[in-house]
Amino acid sequence: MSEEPIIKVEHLYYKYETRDQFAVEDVNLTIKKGEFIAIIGQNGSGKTTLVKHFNGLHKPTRGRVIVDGHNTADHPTSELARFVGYVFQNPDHQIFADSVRDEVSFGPKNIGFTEEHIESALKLVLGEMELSGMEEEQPFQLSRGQRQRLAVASILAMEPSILVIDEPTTGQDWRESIALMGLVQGLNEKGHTCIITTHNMNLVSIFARRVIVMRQAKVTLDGPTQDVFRNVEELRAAWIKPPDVYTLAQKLLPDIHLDKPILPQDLADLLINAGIVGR
Amino acid sequence: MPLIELKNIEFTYRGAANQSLSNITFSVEPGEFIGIIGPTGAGKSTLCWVITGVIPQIIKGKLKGTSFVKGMSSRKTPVATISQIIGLVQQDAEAQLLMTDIEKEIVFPLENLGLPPEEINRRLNYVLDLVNLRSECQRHPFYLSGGQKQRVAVATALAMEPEILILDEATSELDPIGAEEVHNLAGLLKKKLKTVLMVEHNIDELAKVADRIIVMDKGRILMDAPVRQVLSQVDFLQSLGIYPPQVTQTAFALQNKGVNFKQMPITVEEGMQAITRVNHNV
Amino acid sequence: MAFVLQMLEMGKRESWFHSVNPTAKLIWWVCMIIVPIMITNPFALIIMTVCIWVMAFQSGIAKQMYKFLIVTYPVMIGFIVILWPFFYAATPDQHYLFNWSFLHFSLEGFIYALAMGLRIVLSLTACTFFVMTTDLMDLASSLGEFMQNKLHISYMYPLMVMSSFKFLPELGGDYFNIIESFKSRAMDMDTGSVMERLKKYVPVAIPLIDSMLRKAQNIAISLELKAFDTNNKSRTFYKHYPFTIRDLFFIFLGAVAIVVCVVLNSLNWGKVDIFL
Repeated sequence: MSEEPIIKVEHLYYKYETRDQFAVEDVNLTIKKGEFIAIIGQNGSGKTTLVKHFNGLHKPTRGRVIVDGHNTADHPTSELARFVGYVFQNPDHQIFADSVRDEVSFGPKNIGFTEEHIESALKLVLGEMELSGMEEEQPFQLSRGQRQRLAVASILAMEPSILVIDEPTTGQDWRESIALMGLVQGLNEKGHTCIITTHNMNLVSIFARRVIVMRQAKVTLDGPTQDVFRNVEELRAAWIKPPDVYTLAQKLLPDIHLDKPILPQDLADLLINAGIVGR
Repeated sequence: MPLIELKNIEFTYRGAANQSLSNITFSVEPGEFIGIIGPTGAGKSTLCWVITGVIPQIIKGKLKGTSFVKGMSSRKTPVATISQIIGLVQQDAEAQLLMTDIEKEIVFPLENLGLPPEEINRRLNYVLDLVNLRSECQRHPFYLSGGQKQRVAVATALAMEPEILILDEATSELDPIGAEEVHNLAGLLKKKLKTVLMVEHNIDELAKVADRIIVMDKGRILMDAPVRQVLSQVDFLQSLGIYPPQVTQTAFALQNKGVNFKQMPITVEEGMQAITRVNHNV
Repeated sequence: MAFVLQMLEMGKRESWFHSVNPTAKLIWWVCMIIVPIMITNPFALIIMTVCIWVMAFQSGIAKQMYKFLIVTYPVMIGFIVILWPFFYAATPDQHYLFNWSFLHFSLEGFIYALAMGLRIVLSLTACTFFVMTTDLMDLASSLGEFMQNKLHISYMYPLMVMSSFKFLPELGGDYFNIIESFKSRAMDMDTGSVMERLKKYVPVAIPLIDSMLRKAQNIAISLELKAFDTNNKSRTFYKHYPFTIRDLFFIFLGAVAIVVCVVLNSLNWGKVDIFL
């Protein structure tokens, strides 16, 4: 991961026309190239409103958002889409084409990629999303999990360096969720900056390296996953229940320092190493 | 007499190549709280539709086997009649509400049943208090949170005074607060001794309320057993793509390293006790 | 879409006028549509419009009504005042402000146009007042009861009206989501000629229709589960809207307005022409 910031959010305020309160209030963030970030918080906490600023779907009421050197206030979404891919929660809100091929090449065509460029991008992203060989399939006949991956693929084909995915696993079971997130992790390892919003803390603890907690329009916690999940009080205020391993670790090993996120297997090892349980 | 009795149910959707349900046999006794888990496509929703007669009366396909609700065949008895015995709450909170405010929503099926206004009033007040939505009862569903919408759906089903309530992934599209609202309501119904069938992804929550869990995959019932027995099968659940409670997973990992537990813990409190107890034994 | 929701909320407020039987208000409204058809006397039209505004103040909706009509009034009146000179027949004895070829702009024409505008103003004001003081769902339900029990017409039709008010705002929400998702795929919705822009909306329609179709099946299942049957003639109604003295009084108000029109017309004071 480089130290180069790719997204800078400075004193961002945003207010919907129909509401009196700010939906995002004084948010400051620096996101570096290659990070894997989860933004968590309840519905209405402002997390979707925040991420919609990254590709200019929302323009700041006050403050500014700089993405890859571009002030989002000065560029329409159709232009920012080249740098920031934004995948919506419901894949059925974007799928319109007769074939997977047409669906995926829609974005690149809008940007003005050449035929060869589109063809190579198509091949690459279908491979990455494990949809190879399905170019001629009817998108509406795919399973929910496949449609979700198609939605990601159709964004990836525009070759954005930043990928924002809003609630990638809603309505999917654990196996599908893990599969999708595994593919996103692969993209992250190839250098994409990945930002997800989610309610599934188990997924966060497996995949995210940095967690941002939002509550009532403000960022209240921002740090490495293992540190955020140990801040029980702030999480409770944000109505978030950390994964049970963290709660258990907090109670059994209150003083331990964690240098990376933990899973049940890791906790078992820690308990044995600390001599809490013996063989 | 069991409330629900299914025997050798097989079902194939019209135009589909494969069976969505095969060889399903189980029964539900009054007062039971049953959880149904399984990956997407296991046939859980299809099963709920067969029980309520939505299949084959509204959604068509090839159905074999017998399905009885209180002795009535759910193939032939109109869905409207069955829905007075079984209340069904579905996944999509938005699409199952039809009216412009909560009060009208709850009242609508009662008017359809031809109940007198006094009786409708009594039931309306009862369910509004039960799901705690009295102050919101004039609001348009558009303004409600997902959890509130699902509570309205539960209230609407309960107002028909069914003997069984089926929650078909009622929480899967909700945020944690919304899911907790629905789970709390499920816990409340358990106390009121209602028979509940709950299809759910979140097995931790199911563990708190269910007596019995049915595990499904690819249209079949793989396991039908008491909660603890199912949850302790960590390997089996993971192979099905079901995420067991993390505490149980931790205990399982310890067990693989030679630590013995009398009973697999599920909640954090149980985990604390079980692990400290092991510690004392050493 | 937000307007639909706001309207529904307004109809649920509490005031003397809000509590009038919705059917009585409907009849009153019909009277208020007939009045401007019968007369064009600007003074009579102004007086009646002012009366409705007084009623709006009394029922606490004047502010919202103002917000809506301040935009609508000028558009409607402006439209008519601008168009009328093209059609107002030119006669030599008029006071011309401007007279060239086929364009004749006279004082008489202007007054006439203003009277036409006032007709629209009255019916617009009455309509807004009606919508903002009536729970349209109550109206649908009470008409539904009447239709089922007296005319033996299925409750299906009122139900369709009510459900559309439930689903329209949600469909609006879907629409905005879909538009945003297309913008996120580098679709530029804001430039190009009208035809080009229209063409861009074709792909937007597909997910929208898909979402409607998905909803349709859910609605069909929900209706069955809620024991709805189109042939059911024994459906009961939770709320009844019996006619009270106040409702009759309200209808009486509408009737009085019509009678006033008849009297004015018989005295030859009904038309704007007396001022010309």
